[in-house]
Amino acid sequence: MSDGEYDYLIKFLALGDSGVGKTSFLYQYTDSKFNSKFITTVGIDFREKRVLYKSPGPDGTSSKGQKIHMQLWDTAGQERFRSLTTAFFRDAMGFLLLFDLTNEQSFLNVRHWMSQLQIHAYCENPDIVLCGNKCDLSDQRMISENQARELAEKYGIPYFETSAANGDNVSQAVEVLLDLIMKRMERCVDKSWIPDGTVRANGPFTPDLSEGSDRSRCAC
Amino acid sequence: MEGKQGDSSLDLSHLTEEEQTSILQVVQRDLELRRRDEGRVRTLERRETNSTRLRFLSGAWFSEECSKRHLNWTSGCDLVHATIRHRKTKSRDVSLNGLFNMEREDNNNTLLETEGRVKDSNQEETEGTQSLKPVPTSTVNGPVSQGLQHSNSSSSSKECETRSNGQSEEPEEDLIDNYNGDTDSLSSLTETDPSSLRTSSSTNSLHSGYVLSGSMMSLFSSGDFGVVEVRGRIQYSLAYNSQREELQVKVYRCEDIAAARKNRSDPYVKTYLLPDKSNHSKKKTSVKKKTLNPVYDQTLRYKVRIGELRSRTLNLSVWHAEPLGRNVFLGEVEVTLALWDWTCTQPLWQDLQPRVYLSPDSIRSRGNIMFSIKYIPEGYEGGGLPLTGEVHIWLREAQGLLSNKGGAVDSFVRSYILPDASRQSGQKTRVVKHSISPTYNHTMVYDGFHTSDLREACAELTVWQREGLKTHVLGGVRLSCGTGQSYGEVVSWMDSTEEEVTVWMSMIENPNHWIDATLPIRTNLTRRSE
Repeated sequence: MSDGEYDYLIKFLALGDSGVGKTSFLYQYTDSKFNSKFITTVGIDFREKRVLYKSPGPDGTSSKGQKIHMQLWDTAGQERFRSLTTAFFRDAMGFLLLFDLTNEQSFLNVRHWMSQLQIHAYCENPDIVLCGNKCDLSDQRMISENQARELAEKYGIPYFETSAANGDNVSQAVEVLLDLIMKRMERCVDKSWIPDGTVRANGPFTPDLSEGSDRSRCAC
Repeated sequence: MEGKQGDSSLDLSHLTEEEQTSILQVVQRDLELRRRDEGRVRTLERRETNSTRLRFLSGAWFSEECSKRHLNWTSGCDLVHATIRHRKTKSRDVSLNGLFNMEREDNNNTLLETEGRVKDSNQEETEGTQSLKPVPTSTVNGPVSQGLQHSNSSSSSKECETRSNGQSEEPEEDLIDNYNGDTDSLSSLTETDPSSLRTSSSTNSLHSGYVLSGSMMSLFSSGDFGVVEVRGRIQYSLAYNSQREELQVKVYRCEDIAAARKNRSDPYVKTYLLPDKSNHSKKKTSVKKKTLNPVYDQTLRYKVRIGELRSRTLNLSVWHAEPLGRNVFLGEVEVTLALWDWTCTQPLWQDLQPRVYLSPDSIRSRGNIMFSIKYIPEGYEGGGLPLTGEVHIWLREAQGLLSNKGGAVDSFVRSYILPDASRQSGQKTRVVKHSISPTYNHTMVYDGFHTSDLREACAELTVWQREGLKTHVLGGVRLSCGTGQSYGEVVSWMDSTEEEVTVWMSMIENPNHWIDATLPIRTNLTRRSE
């Protein structure tokens, strides 16, 4: 599969507490499979997938599909691998931040992961999609959708309630992230065609949750 | 929180061998993926005319963003890769089984990197002690390399007297040394392991010693050493404690040493682990009053890894402690540790030698340079392989850099692949500050080769010292077929030594394999006509 026959190499990274379902999420995305056995990730791993991306071109007409080769980094949530996994943050263009809807602590730690990203990622406001995983376990749910959406809004990032077990919203979450990256890429390189006052899809990035009036921009 | 980040080193020592192996496997896969992508990008660069579109497609947009944030941007993967690989060469108990399994399961070429290393660690297991075995100890001068034979001592000391320029050894303030407390670690940066001696040819090179004649310490001292005619001998022994990573220099006594003052001396013995002549490296025994046959029975200890030792020279010198004014030099002995037989821990007698002024020109080698080199032959379009052959030089570190003044230096390495000596062809590492054994960990890639070109080319790596704004070359290596000719013309720079030729030939004959080498940084590179 990894021949040179693609247009873009896009690198994403999944992060979050141990046991939230990062590996399963990615496995579901790439292979449409689910394994309920818990095997903790040793430090770091990655999966690959080839997708076709179609977006409207700058003049509004639909452009032809672009072949995307995705490299999906899977990081260990365990504390002992922390120094290792944060070293990989800088290699990723976009992030899937996962927490477990049945585990309150994992949700509370989202804030911690966001600040880690701000420090270690390639820029201070990278593209991130928040995923509340294990939405299929409805009777064990500890975090309400409202709570999670509120948090996501404060950070200005998209939120999805996903299930690696049954596939709910898994592809959607990844595709939205891909879309964000492709749009950011274009903005970074060529800003001339964007009219003034366009709101960035990702919104302001303020990890301390205060409503910042200045919009953090991609540093290009 | 930092706005801009430098490359911080990573500490993965808490991870188990299996975990590191597993992570290394992932890193290798990423390397493969990146290489294929680089091939794709190269093809793209030739075809895509729209530069904006090229920046999207090649991922350059991302690299550019990264470099805005991180100084000297290294990918996390490369950082981890270097950390784990480096740890693996250091650790003696590398789980070879783990590495061998990797080798068998995966058919990829990239794992040959690890293969090479596996073979070498294996070699080290069986030949480790052998590589430390020196010239036999039965000679009169003890286990010392031929490079340290002194010329006729009486004439040398006379020379010394006329040359003395009034500068002496720095005043000895602290005469009583608490040697027990002296456990300073000498090597702050990377050390190497015996397993770092890869090709057998490079092992030989370490036996040639740094200098042609005279002691290494002579290089750094421009002093008043001819006051007293050197005589007598010193008895000492060396032992290395692997568990504590400690070199133990036991000074027993001296016999029949010269009298610095009327019929008396108050001698003490001082040691250095050259080329480090900082205070970290200096250790002393106590002073024995009024004797020409002092007995010390004292052990001076150096905390240092065995890998670092092999690039060092132990200097033992005897001095008369003069309370008012300068101390008087009474003789010295130097030992090239790369040649020492560590199984020999008995006391040895060695005659004290005078110190002769040495010019920097007499230095033959200024330490070792450790690197890996690989040739990737040209592939076919669309196959994800480069269209022209590439030479990759992974410059790892230099060991035991010997500068004119001695001690730690700011250094960097420059590379060219001759005959292309244009500015664009030159690449260099960043400056590594204040080190005797700096780690550069920098890969240079040169492309545009056909395999036949390699026989006419020469990879020249030079090590430079930076002092303030000025730089000067310490020495270097030239890797080539050593034919003296390039493309039919006689040239001065195809002057590789036998071991340099071996490394280059190994690279050509083993495409897609890393060839690891440790070679002496020689000072006799023939000048290239500009």
